[in-house]
Amino acid sequence: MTGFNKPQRKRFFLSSNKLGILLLAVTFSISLWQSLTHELEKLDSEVVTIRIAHQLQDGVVEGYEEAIAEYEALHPNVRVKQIVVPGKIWNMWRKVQLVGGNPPDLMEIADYTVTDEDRRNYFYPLSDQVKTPNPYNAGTPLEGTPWKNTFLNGLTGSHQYRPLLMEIFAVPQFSETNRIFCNMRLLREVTGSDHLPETFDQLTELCEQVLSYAKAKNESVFPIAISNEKVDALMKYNFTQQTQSFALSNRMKTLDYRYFTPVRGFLDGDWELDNPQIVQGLQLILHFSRYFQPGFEATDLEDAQFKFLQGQSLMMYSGSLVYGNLLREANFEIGVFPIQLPAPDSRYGKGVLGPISEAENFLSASIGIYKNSPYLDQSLDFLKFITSYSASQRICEKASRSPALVNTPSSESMKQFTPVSEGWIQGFNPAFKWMGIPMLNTSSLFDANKYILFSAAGGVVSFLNETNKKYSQAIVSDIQRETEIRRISFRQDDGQLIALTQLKRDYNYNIMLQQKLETQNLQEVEYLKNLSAVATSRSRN
Amino acid sequence: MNYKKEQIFLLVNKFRKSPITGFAGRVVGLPRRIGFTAAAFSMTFCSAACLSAKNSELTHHAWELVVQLRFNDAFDYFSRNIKDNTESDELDIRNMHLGQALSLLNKNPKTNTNTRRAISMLESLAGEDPKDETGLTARYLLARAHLFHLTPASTEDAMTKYEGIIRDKPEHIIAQISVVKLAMLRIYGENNGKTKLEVIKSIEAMSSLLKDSALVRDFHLLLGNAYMYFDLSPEKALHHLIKAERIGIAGPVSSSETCIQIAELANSIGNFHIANSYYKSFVEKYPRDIRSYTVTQKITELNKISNSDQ
Repeated sequence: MTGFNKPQRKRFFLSSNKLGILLLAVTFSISLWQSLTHELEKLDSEVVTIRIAHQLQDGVVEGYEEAIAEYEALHPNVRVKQIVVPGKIWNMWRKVQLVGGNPPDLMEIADYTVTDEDRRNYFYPLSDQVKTPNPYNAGTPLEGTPWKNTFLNGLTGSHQYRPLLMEIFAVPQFSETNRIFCNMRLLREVTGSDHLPETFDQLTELCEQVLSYAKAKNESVFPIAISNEKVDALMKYNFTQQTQSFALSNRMKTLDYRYFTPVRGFLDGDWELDNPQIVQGLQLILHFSRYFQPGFEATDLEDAQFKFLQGQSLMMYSGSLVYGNLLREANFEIGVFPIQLPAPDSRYGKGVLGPISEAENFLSASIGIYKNSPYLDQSLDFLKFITSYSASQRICEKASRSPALVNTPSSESMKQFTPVSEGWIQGFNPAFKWMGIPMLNTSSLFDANKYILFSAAGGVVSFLNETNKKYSQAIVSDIQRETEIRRISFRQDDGQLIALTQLKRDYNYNIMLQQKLETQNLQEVEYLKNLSAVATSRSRN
Repeated sequence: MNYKKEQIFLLVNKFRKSPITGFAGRVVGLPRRIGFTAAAFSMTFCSAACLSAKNSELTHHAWELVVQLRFNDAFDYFSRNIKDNTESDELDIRNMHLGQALSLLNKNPKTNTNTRRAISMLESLAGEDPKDETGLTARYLLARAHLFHLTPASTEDAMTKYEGIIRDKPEHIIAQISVVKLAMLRIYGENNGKTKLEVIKSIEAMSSLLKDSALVRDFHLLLGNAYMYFDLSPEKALHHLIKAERIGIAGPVSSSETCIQIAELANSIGNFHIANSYYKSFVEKYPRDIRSYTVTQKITELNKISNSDQ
């Protein structure tokens, strides 16, 4: 029983209905008001918030914070939110954001797991944008220079430019150079002087001195600490110097022998794995390996740093990225110098042209724009700002890094990391690691057999014998995989191209059509050359 | 759903651009943006039911979706558009069917059923009128399907389709594109008993078919590179690359590549004047290129030769 009689109940229901309707009307009005106010505020103030995501690195967050404050002061209608993600979960986080459909407007594209397909599907091509000057460089030495040419590598590095897509997708923030870090206190103890090696022979002599010192003192001190990853970097650096002559004699007359040219060269029989330059490169790596800490093949960066900081090695070969950390952690003075490879016609230097140019060195923290961002213009503008002469210098100073820009002075402590641009052309790395093309099977084969090269029972000949057994097969499977990827990419390109022919009465679409035609035709020729090289190799075998 | 959203978007956009909205805002005394928004909202909702955008505008938008690689959205859009506009001009309908087939060919997830259905749609479009724009494009897409959608790929079928298009309407843009595509298949494909030089020379004869400057450029790039790739004639390669370069290379990398190729080819055949000029142009235009220092050394070498000659 409710305790109400019928008229009372009727009145109650009537009034409760009224109350319900009233409540509904009130809540609807409130939500409508809130939603409209929000929309009107947005329109009124035109404040937009763009988000930039990058990996957590010492000093970078603070550097960006300052740049953002400065940018927001210049553009009161734009707010920039920084999303900082720890390096260990970065890849997964990035993938989830992209697939989820709501990624940040600006995002670091700084790892090798960002495929061409990802770049094409999710990132805004910047090739046209980088042709014009960056307005934020006005009044600086970079004023009037096309944005592209303000970067040390002219945006031709593999994190920025994708040869298969023939597009630029990102612009970098920092320049990374590999250098040798030296414990100056220990150097004085070992040699009695502060002199850092300036030639390959001097470096070798210093390493020998360290070995003698360790033996005499019965101490566990090694000449060079190195991580597994940097062994690969040293191999690449060394091989690309050893094979410089290939670039000079390339029949395509490009003074270049990178990307798929050496792959096809191998399939066409232009070179073999036991080529004298490659053998010499392997011998040189073996020469260096005598001076690395034991177990270097399985040492990660943290372990290598630890050994160096503990004084267990005189030197460490690593990237400028770790310098800030070393400065904070080391209780000794640190000297920095570039690794010296053999001079032309010296021991291990037969046939090389000279030191290779670092102009296209690894430029890191490359940032791309999400292509479906509602704030493309603002994101592009902010990207121009953080990569401008002044903002870039300030970010680098905070982060103890070198700028990715030309004619932009580094802080005094970072001067040793300025890339050497007066260097010769590069050849290729037969492991095809970090060469801007996906050659997973070939690089894995090199990785898997590296132990043979470095083991006491192994050496160059054993390594070559073992690797040669599967090298051709690995190259063919990699190039086949690549042609499959290209087939998929051409399907979409064709759709785009036909749509452009339908829209070509519009001037902008006509320009796009002309560029698309050139890109697709050049890519298709590369694809056909790859197919033909595989067929030639098959018929020969 | 996407189709509806896009239609509303188009209508709203139409009103945003309309002078009426700005005027309405001023009449009721609201700030310009709010007035415009209010007017846009009211007019959109009042008019949405009775207004429909023109077919051509909708088709144009659908093609724009394809440019953005939004194949699934484009497919929905073309399909609904076909359904809603049964009384449209036949040419428009054929164009919409072409868009539908093309987006179906790339629709995700890609399935054999979709590919077969798209190919059959293209075949019927090509069969209805093989020589109008839609028919030619359908035939071109069928050629491309033989290369990139069907397994195993059939170069022969693709070449036959290209040849047919070129024969039927050589001046059409689709035929012009087909000339370059056919040329590259012949150059890098089977020789059929001919030498590479014979193949390339027979292709050179096709140059008179090309009128579109972008494709003339691509044709010269193709031939220039082929002469080098097969080690045939640096002189011919140089001739073609200079022609392409004069038309204008669009891509930044292909442009630096061509510049250095011209300089190197000229240098190799002793045409030092051209070599020097293109080397200098390379260093000036691409100072950050990894090859710049090497090219500077080459300029020094050439200067030495030139001084010793004098």
